[in-house]
Amino acid sequence: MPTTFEKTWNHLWNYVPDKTSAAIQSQNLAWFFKAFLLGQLPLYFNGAGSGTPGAPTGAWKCLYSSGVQSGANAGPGITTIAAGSNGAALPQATINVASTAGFPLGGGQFWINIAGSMQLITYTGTTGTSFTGCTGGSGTMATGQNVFDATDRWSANTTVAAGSNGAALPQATVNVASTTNFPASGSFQIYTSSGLQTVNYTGVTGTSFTGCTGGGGTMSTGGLVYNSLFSAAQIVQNTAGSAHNWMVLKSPDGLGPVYVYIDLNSAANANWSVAWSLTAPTGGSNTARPTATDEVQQSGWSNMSWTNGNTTQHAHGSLTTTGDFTIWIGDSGYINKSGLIFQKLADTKTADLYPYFMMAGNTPWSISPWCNVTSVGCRTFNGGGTFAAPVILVPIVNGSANCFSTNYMGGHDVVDMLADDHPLYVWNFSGGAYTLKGRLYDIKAGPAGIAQNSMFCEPSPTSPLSVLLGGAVTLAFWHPTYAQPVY
Amino acid sequence: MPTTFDRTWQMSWNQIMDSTSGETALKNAVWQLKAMLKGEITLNDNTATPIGSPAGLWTCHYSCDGVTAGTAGDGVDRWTGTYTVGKLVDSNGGAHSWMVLKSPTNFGGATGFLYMVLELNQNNGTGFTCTVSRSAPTGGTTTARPTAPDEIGGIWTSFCANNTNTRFHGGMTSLGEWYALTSTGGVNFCGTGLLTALQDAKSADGFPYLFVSGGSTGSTGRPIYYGNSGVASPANCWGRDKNNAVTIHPSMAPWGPANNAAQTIFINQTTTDATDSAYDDLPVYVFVAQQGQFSLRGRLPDIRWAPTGTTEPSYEPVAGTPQSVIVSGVWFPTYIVPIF
Repeated sequence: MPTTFEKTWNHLWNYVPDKTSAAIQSQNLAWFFKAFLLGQLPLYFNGAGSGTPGAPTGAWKCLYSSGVQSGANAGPGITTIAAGSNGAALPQATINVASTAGFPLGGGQFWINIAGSMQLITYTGTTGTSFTGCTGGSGTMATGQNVFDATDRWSANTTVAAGSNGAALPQATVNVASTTNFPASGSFQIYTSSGLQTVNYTGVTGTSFTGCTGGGGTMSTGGLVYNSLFSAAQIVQNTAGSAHNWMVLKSPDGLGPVYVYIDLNSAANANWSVAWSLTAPTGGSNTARPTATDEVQQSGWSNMSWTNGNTTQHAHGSLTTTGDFTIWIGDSGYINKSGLIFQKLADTKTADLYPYFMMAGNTPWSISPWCNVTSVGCRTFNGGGTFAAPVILVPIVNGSANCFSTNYMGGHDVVDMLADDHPLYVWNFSGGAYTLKGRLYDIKAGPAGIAQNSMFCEPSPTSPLSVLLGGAVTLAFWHPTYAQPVY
Repeated sequence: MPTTFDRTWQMSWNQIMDSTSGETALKNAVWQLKAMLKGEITLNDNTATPIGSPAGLWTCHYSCDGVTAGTAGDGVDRWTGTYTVGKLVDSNGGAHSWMVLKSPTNFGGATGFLYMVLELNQNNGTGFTCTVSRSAPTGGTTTARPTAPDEIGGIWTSFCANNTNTRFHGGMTSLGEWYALTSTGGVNFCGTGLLTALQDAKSADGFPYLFVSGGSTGSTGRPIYYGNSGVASPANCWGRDKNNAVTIHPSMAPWGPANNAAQTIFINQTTTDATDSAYDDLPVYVFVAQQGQFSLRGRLPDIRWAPTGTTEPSYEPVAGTPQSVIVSGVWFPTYIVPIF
């Protein structure tokens, strides 16, 4: 088993989704995917057991999204820099755009794509063609640069109503367009003249929060108000062409940045599409996700087939401090009934412009890392093509392929009485584009012959550092963890 | 090819051996090995620059020149620091030369010594005896080498090919680990061996080392490190169990996809990687497959697998000072274009 790791891992394992119905369970798992990556859930460092979660680092950001909106905002907000800001260097108090339609009007955040570098801007107001009270960002704006509304519409969100316009926080009552999907008490985030503020509340009406405390700055009509909680009503799955949720997530800059697309584009429960790209996306509407010229779509996750409503279902997420991540859905006796790995590879070649690996699938058999993995998405080194059949290299002893796995892993290594591990290499041998792309960080080949439902954790089940996934197949793999998984 | 290394390498390549006969070429090659370990020949770094003061040197513990057998620990090198064929007596049964070498204290970065015995006892122009142990060998006469209870190794059957056209190619890390190659007939490599500590070994491992004494096989004269049948001959791969109590024969496990078609493609790869137009490399893991001794012991530092389909000796980078050369499907660190 791996006892040391190259990356620092944050985890949230054994998340229990809302199992009120199969549909809600599916919606909750989709929400878990984004909330985990956005750092909206507590994460635990590797080996931290059940202690206090560490501060999540490596979290991704919402570039823009489509979801359920309440109030006046009708996203997804997408626009472009207008001539009035052409040549202006950020930060600028006023940023001119083609239109602010679809953006929260009284304050929020947006991204500007400046030559591939996303700049996050906080604003406090709008006109029809400009954002005002802007702070943040660097670089020089140019006419036509894409601007994305950073609002996460997969959780409850609304806007400040006229009744609170000009009022300075703290206020006992905060008037909003709608409190639909907000809990009866709790807290919300709000953009004011002082930026992002947190307000606690004890009650709601249809258009206001009551018993409010906390926060500062002056509210403006149209200012974004939101929380980061799961609400089934915020998650809509439907076929492309009908309104449904999607989100484009931006990785930490050090990982690329890379963009990952979660698209709930099927009316069936638990059917998602996921894609990634290195170039920034464009377009997108309430009925179709944005696209990028170099995107790689993961068809293997387009038909996730976990047992909806299964009462044993749990979700597990792991995130490195540089943004690599995995998601596992445990169900029906398998820790990884379905799952996804996304990593920037180790030991890559300097000429490789696409040193990334994504693998997603709906059974442990289709995502176990042995040869000819089908549910994967890699791009050739110059981005000129995709390939979906990288080979994971395993050791061969005395000519017996997989001898490591099949012949010797009924027991443990005699030196330390632990099961062994090997690095996993990603190799494209198809189509004449022979390339050894690199290897995975920390996720390592382990033995077969140990079924994953045996809860195989080391160095001990109660305080594990690694867990074996995908057992009972040709080759299992070790995955960092901090807790004994439940499935 | 490997572009970065775990170790600092000090090397001597393309050394022409004594061409009086195949037997003298062998004697010269064995002397070169000990001279490299003791720093008695010029060693170059990986930029082809001679190293003034090599690190990780071995010392002579005691020796025999076929006339006088030393006593343990006398430190006398009776083979001398200059190649003298008369000091290298090769006899199978009669008086002959041997030497016990002692490693630097931090061999392979770990605490403790290794000892190695070189013995010219085959008299056939191809082989000699080479053993390694953690305990100091004792005894020794003009007709029998010293021995140690925990020694591994034995007759290095095909270090040379009884050929007058023989060259020696060797490398040693600053921690005392070494490899030794010979080439023969101006055609290809012949003998090959190494002694190294293992990377990524387990803390409980009491013998995290690998000793290989391989030789030529078949008409190609190439050492068997790799192939569709795995390493090659585990009989030539030597180690000890975790308690240094039992001699074992670990395998140097090659890597490949667990898919025969893909495996064959990698092994027989004759084209360079599409990404950088260079040949690839993978770590070499040392794996014990013996019943009751199953263990993944660690990996070799710097010496890595390459596709065997490549032409030997492919080296990279192809322009400028080479950093690595493929010898029968294995990358070795180097500093110069090899000459057979």
